[in-house]
Amino acid sequence: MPEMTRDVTGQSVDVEKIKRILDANNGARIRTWLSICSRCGLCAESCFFYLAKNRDPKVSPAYKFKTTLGEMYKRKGKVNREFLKKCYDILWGECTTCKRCSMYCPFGIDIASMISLARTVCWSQGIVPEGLERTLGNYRETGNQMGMSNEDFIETCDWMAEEAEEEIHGLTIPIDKPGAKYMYTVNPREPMYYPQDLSMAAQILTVAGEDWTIPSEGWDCTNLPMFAGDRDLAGQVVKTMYEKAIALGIPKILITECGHAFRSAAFEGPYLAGYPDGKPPVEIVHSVKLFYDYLRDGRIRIDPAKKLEAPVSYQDPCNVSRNGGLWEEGRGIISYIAKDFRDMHPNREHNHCCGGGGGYIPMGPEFKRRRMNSGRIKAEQIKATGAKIVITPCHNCFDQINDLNEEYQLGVKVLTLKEIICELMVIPEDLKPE
Amino acid sequence: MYNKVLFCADLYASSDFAFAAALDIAERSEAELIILHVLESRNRYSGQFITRDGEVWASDEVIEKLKGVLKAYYFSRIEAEDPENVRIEVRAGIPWVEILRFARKEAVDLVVMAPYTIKDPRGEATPEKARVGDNVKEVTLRARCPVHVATSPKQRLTLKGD
Repeated sequence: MPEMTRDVTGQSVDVEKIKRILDANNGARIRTWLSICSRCGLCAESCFFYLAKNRDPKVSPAYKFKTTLGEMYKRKGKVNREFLKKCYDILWGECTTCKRCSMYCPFGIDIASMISLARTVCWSQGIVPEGLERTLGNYRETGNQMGMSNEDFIETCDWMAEEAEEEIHGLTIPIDKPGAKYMYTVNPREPMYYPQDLSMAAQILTVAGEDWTIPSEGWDCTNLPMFAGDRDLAGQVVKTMYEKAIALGIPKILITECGHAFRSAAFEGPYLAGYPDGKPPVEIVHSVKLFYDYLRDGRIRIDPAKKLEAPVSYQDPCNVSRNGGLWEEGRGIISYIAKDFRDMHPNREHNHCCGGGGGYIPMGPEFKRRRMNSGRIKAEQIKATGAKIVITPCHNCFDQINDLNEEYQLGVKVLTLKEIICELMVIPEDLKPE
Repeated sequence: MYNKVLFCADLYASSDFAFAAALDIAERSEAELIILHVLESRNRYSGQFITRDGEVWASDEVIEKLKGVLKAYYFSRIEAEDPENVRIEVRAGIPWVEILRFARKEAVDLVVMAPYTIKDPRGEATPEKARVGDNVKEVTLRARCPVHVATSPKQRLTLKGD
């Protein structure tokens, strides 16, 4: 008979299952992190939730991990549902796992990893935000978060190739091309909600003369199970993508303008998928890096007459800049496309999370008000730049800043890199439509 | 003349003129009339939609319920008691994207839609003050078949613009 606890409503918790998760992760790292934190408080000032909530100590990163994962270990997994629901509120409502706090912790404690583990415990008991839970079924059934069939995805690619051919002569979107240099993977929001993004990617890659293809399966590079706490599914999602590239004999996977997809594919995915060396089996390249290389090497040229006149700022997606190391490449691209760049402060790897990461955006209306409140820090950063355009290579940042724009009346236009590059790039004579 | 006519139902009474036009064209052509409504995604990310029941997920149940509402509303406007050549479809997403996706997949040869008739979504529809919104603009610019935008017979030009 498995060990169970019950809360006042009579709902039970499978303690044995929780113990198994805690025991499996009870290695030197977690034990050290839980015991070494000296409550110095340096992590607090780094957290935008803490700043936005008038420096409430209960929102400091140290408090958040101690009262969730710390308590789970302290109680040896013997927790009830009431406790897990309190954890739910903290784990998803007050942390985006942006990892900024780890940079300011004198011991380098990886608080986000502990928050993620505590999320896994909650998920194991069916306690997970509905918005994320819904995507899990879609991943299981169709391999992507939006539940789009592979057939519909390919049709959308064909449709966008037709549209893009009006801009670029001879453009195609190759599907499952063996031995191509890059396998381009997307966020399903693109084919679902703004398929033009696929068209724009095809235009840039074609003008750059790239050897690329889109896979007919394993095309979703996002990984919301990673944020929901479903580690097995998260591993499966990323493994499907890796294995497709291997099957096609493709050495590099190209990630669209999505932050957490890069974190998943390049850094966390190999562990989730069970690769012992922690490295992806093929090279993972983010669009920011590739687009920067194209501009630096002259494979894409920007029409100087079209360079943006309006003041521009750049939102560093946490998983592209801080956790992906591409903050200078992002600014490098801006230097080619904008005349008046106004950086946020702090910036680069120190930039604040937009407030929409870590699964927050797809968590939906239940968390919207909190997302807007905690996003005040980002809104103030943007306002202080005086920028009229905010560029960001991440879907969550894009959507969050659009929402903040409305909430705080920022008066900015939010753009992706693809949109601007397509608008500003020089189309070589031989590729101009007839 | 046409084989498949796609009417885009925006659930505002102001599009009744467009429906009448679509029905007339379909009957004259002996074409199939497809009535399509797209549950508009409130955001580009949440997969949630606004219906008369509030903010909901586009579940099969929601879609079937909506199909029933559409059937009751539009079939009552068709003279034939049990029209055979009329189909109701519901999709979820960004309306103009789903309309174009559907039109392409079904190879429809005419799209009929109504202009945008409200400025404030919380306000009343004003059919006489039609505007070209994102959906009409994108569908007319991008569709691979003719697009018929039907307005109210009372439609008039105004120098005030609003």
